[in-house]
Amino acid sequence: MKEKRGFGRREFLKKAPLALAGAAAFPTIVKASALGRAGAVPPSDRIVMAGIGFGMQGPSNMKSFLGKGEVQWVAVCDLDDEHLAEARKTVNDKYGNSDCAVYKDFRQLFARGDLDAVSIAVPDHWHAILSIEALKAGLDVYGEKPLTHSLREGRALCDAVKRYGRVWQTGSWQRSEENFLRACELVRNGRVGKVLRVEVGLPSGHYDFAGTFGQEQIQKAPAGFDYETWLGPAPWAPYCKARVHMNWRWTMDFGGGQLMDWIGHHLDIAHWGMGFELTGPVEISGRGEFPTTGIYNSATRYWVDALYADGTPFVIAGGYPEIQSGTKWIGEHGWVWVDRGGFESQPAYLVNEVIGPNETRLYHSRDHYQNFLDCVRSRALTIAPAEVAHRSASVGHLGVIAIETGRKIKWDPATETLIGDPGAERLLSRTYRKPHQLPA
Amino acid sequence: MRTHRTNPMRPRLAGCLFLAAAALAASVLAAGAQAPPGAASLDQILKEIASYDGGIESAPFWKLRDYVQARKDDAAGRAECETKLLQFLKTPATPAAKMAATRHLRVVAGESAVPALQALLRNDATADYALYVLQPMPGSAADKALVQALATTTGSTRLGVVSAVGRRRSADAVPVLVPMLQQPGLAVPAATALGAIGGDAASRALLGALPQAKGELKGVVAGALLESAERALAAKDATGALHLYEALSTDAGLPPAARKGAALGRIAASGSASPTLLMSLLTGNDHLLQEAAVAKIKDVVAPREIAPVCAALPRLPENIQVQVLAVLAGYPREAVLQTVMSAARGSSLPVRLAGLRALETVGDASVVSFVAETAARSRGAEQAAARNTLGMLKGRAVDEAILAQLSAGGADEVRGELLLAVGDRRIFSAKAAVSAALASPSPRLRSQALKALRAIGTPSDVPGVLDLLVKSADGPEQSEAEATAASLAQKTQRADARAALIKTRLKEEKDPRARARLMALLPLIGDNSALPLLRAARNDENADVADAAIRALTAWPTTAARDDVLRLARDSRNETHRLLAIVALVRMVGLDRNRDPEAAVADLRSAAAYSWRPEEQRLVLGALVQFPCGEALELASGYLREATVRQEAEAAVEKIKARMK
Repeated sequence: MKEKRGFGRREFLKKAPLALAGAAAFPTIVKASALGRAGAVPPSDRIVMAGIGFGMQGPSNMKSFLGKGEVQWVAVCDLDDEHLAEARKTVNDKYGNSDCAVYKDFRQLFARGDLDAVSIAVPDHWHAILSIEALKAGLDVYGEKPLTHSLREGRALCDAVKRYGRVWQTGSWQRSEENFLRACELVRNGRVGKVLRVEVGLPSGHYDFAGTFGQEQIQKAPAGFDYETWLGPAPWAPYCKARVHMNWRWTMDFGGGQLMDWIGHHLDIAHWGMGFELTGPVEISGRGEFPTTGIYNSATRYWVDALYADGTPFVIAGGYPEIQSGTKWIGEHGWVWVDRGGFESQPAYLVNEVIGPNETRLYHSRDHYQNFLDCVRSRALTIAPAEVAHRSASVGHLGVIAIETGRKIKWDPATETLIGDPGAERLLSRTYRKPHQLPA
Repeated sequence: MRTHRTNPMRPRLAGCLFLAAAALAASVLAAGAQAPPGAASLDQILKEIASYDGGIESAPFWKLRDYVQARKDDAAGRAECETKLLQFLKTPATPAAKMAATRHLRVVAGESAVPALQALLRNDATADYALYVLQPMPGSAADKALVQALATTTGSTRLGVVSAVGRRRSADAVPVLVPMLQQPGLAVPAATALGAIGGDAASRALLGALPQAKGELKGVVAGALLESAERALAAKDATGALHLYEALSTDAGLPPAARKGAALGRIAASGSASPTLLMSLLTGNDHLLQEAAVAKIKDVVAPREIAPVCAALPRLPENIQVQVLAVLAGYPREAVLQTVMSAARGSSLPVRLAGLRALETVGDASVVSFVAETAARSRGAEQAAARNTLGMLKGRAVDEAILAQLSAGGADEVRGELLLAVGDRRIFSAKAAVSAALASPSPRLRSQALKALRAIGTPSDVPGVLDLLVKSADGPEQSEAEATAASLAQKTQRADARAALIKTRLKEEKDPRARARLMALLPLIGDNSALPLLRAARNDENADVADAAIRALTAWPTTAARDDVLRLARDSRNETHRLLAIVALVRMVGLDRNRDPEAAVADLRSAAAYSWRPEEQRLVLGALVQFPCGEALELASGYLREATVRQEAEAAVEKIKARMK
């Protein structure tokens, strides 16, 4: 699909020994087997993609894209040989060849020059640097939530999306699910009257995704896993199994706990229903409970109050049974609640209401991945663009800061500045370990 | 103190004097603070944490956190923490321990800490700690320290300092950064920092470096200039911004992304000349610049000036046409409808699809006929797009046009599409037309009418739908009738009256086949008042009716039928019914999310008692994992003896154990 980029094949061959180690030859984008296949997208029209990060959400995202005939997946990139081998096998099995190239260095991947888009699913502390480098390389990006690891990084990423004219889709896939759309449209069209309060229920505790809980003995990182690069811009910490794959999200230097992991889902939906996608709260306060042993330091139970400029209070909580998991808008005339697999209302018939075309209709995407691909072609905004994801993540970042400072903080969402709290201001950004730097 | 702190020639002495003074002040202040009885002092905590390896023995880590948290908001406490944490960073403590100390120092350190932090910057091994604290520190003292360090540090520490002054936007750093643009290894981070800082001096230096920059540096300098230009534009300095964008645009070696960025910026900064520039780029032959032009149409082309874009559309490359159509969708109908309609009728499928999508917002009643016919004759993506558009066209006139065409007859395929639109659009006034379609000889049309009725019907329409349900011999139509009857019944306000119409009909209905079909509706409605009727029908003399009643009980959507399925699992002699009951029991256990795990496991224990097939046992094991508790572990462990499910039991035991942690 793309015109030739800055690096030619010869230059690439000089730069990418790993790609050659992983593949017998340079990946053949135009597969002979693809030609003439009934219903197949002509190779010249395919969107050429690669993926970075295959420890958790990456494989699932890649499989969804591989299911689209218009995508040609050409390369995988990860810091762990095991992840790389598995991801590469998935691609090669799909295409029935051994063409998928492998990379450990994302800069080499971006230098290929034949990519249209990249799917990024790495730990949060790498989100901003990696994504901005991808945008700078002229790639459209499907990136995971939360958008970035700090609030200031979020603004930088949004600026870069605009600067380079790229398409961005955040992995806030609930937006492409019918129930969530319907719930938001009901609220937007006043079916519950004026909204008096919004409740956002998120998970609590720490979940052992990788089965490595308790494996906190410091040891040498295994051969085949580039731990030093994995740490990247984050503060230095010694290797132990529990710190890395999947469970990194429970340590604030790499992730943001349950609050930040889920803010891009249920709070994002809450914003969507309220029409607050391009703004944020004006006051935030919060409290949290933290582990007292082990290496994880993100809140296991938390409560954040956020007040918006129109006077609507939001509660974002994890571990409080009175706040139901999902998003609930409570209005003058009833409520609407939506979660994965749950959609209820009071009065009950609301959930069956159809929103007509003459009412407020929201962006409708039936397939989150397809929406991204459609927008790569049309250059239109996706259903979960960077700015919207940044605003959702901002509420989480501000909640984390309010919990850490123990103060009610005042926020100006227009200028994205804290009002009268230079102490809290320090927490809006993160310092990178030398020599890492946020690119322009 | 002030003299020492601002004298760059004597930083070490300044640091020592400062530390001594701060320690003295802290000890005086801390003496007045009330420590909780029995609480460890900061000295004790730091002594404990000094050997922390970053792993499992993290107790001192948490003690330190609590200590600082409790004192960060009072001056005396902050001063004590600042002083002692700074001192700690000079000890031979482990890196993990020092990182832990730094984390808290970042929050409590004031300008008084700067000299000591400056000293730490001189050592590669401690520089990160200093950067971590200095970069976010408010005030000019941190700026001064970092700018000084630009000249005194080397290697990776210097790179870290460059990054920090960029993030802080320290204007005083510009003169030190500019010469770095010529130094290999420093040019990339320096250019990045200069872009972040912005301003005339930084921009001039970057512009000067652009022509000679090669490879990665070219892209970085270009990116920095783009960022700098954005800052100028945001500060209303369009001339300054345009100067940068134009300089970038003339550089032949610019990477594509930067070239596009420069074009976007040029259009944005060109003021009244923007539309002309945009049109020249749009109709040129550089694909990248065409994309940039499309992205800016909405920003710079007023609705009354969109005609040239519309006129150019057919001559543009196919993929650019697709992009332009997405933009035209945001323009007033009268200005773009004709162009969009031409595209939707065109020969290229991607362009037709884009045209149909644009019609969604710019179409009106005049396009109803075309869109309905397109939906009827096409398949796949085009049909989906046409249907979506028909459902989304705005205006009451569109509803009237759909009704009028529906009443006028015509091909069944087109009428079917119009009926779907009636439902999508919630056209309540179409009730008569929908009812007429329910009597159509075409099962497909009847099915589409049922779909429409789901949206616009009321509970009073249920009897008519039940008639259709019991008479229909067409499978898909039966499914639609079931879904419609259930959906309409759900609209009854009182939850315990939703099944009333079905119960009444069941009492009147004698045909066993019809009775069985009606019973299948009841779990879709979920009105618990229907359960006694189903319980009675379990023993109906007609086997089909009894089977339907049992299936309805096992499909019940709430836990109200838990005892029924439990009994079925225990007593049924029909293997199918027994299996359905076990599946239902396991499902029902998971329905109550807030239930006590022990109570849920007790139900699963009951299900387990009647589960003898491996597939049933696997179901129970799968459900047990959702309720991590001792009872679940015990029950799952019991299956370890079963060879056929040992593997699943082992996995379940592991998961339960892990979740119990």
